[in-house]
Amino acid sequence: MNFFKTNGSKLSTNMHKFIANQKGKPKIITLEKEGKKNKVDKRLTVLTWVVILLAWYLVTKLGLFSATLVPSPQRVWITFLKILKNGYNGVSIWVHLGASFQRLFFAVGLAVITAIPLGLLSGYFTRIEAVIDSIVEFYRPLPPLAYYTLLVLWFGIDNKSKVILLFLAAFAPIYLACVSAVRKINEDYILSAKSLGANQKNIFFKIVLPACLPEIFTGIRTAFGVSYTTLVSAEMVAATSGIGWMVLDASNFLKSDVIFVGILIMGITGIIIDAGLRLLEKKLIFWKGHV
Amino acid sequence: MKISLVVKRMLLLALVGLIAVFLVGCGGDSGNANQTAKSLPEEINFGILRVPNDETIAIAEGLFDKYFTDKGIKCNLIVFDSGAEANKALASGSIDFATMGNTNAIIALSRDLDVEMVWIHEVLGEIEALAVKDGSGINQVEDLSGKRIATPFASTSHYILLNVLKEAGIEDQVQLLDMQTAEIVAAWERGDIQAAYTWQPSLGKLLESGKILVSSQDMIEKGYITANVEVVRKKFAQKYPELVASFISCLTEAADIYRADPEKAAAIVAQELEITVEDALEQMRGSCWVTPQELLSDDYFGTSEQPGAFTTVMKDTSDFLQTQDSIEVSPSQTEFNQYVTPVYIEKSLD
Repeated sequence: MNFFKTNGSKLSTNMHKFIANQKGKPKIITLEKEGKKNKVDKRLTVLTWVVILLAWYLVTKLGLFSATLVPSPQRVWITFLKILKNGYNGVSIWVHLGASFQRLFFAVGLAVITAIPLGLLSGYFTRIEAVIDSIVEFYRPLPPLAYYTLLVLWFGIDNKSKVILLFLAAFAPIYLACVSAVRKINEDYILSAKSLGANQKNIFFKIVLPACLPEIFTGIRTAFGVSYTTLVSAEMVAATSGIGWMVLDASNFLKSDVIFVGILIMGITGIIIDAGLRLLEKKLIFWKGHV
Repeated sequence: MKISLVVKRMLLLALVGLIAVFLVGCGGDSGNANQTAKSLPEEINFGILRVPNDETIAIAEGLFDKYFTDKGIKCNLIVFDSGAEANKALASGSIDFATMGNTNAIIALSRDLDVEMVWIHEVLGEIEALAVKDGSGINQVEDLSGKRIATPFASTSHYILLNVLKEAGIEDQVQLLDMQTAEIVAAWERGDIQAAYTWQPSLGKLLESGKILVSSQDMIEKGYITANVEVVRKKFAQKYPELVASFISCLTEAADIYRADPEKAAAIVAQELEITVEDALEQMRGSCWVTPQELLSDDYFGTSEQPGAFTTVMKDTSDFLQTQDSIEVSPSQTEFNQYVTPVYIEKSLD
């Protein structure tokens, strides 16, 4: 356990998964080797971005495309500062971000509350799964835009339809993670507990829930990602605020520099949210990979 | 093993780069795909609006076949909800011609799209209007204070609506919602909105349970003129000026059907837009269809030597859009004089 704690921050998630999958027999990798590999990886990441930025700069410098199609990095930076200072359409960028995050967190929160119990129950009782699973499997691959118009017709143009769309996007990953987590629990643990006299309640809270938490967390992280990608669609109809709406409105007026700024802000905030969740995961589920 | 991994990753990176370059290359190529060495393009992509106008008649009556298809040119018609989407398609070089409101034509110029304006389909009158719902208690513009009004942003309707609100002094007291025309009808029927500025045929659906508060016709009298115009990619127009002229002849022929026999034209439009003949006729009367000769007068395009009044309308509208932060730079009067070009109309009359 100490091994992971000291080196935890540098371990990639893939590594976590790999070890988690090889239940019971973690692969031993020496610290030294890991460290070196990470250094190279980091350099490669930085290099990739330097190349992308350089290519972007060169393409605009050489004027290969008009500024409307590909605005220069300098221009995007200036627009970013302008939006930071004056906001967009007279509304501060923080209000836009706040509006979006309110929708996002509310929807994901709702999904967490509903999907975890339903998912665990589905994993536990096949009868419940028989009811819920097919519904989730049916709507999960649908593109949100396909049914969003219906949601708008049913729930109106206000926040309700937007939150429901994001909720549906977030529900499936968490639900599926819960079902598969329950399935993966080592039967021996439950049997041993039973033979030692544990009742259902104890088994659930002392064994099932802790064993499932790592996967549930992965589900929540995926849910945030999927919801976030749905945000722009959600803010497509009759929104007057939100970072997704800002991008859409800018596209009406072909303000590609604003579109770039919006996308960069979304990308960076997405990374920050994910990093926050990972930190939380590490704090809450210190036993991950050791069950 | 470590080195081979690095090499592998480098190779992967290079591969991704190559694919990206390849894709970008493809994107660039497809835009010029029809610029073959032949004297005529293989196909022309038209961005159209589903509104009762000359272009709709030309399509329904098969006039495009006469002017283009019979010459061996394939015509692709792409329907857009408003000029805002057409502009995106123009920016990427996906379409050659596009019908749009003059506000979007201004945005196109301001954003340096390589296009020029060659035609006015119709000057917008009663065809675009601010509708309010029956029983909403809104009887004059001032009553809209504190209400929500839907309109497709960047459109001519949006522009006129902003001016209606400004004239009434309540531009800061209403909430504007950006919606497409079909969404406006849906939100209206649900009762989410009680006021909307939109155009026919969606306006007609609103009026089934509402009335017109202000129309674009009322605003013409106050000096706010909007029109649906045609823009064409400059590269296309320079390469095939005679085709642009043919297009104008095609639209003129279609408009002549309306001028000669409005009932017949209404029947054609009604079938194409799936509305009743009476509605079609009323909607068409809501706009002013201008002949090429009239367009060459001082009131509109003017001549190549003497720009007409519509260039000033464009400049004024552009300045207003700039004050709204919709566009960053308002092009100069000289730029508009060149942008609104009578050359192809003149050519079509030769």
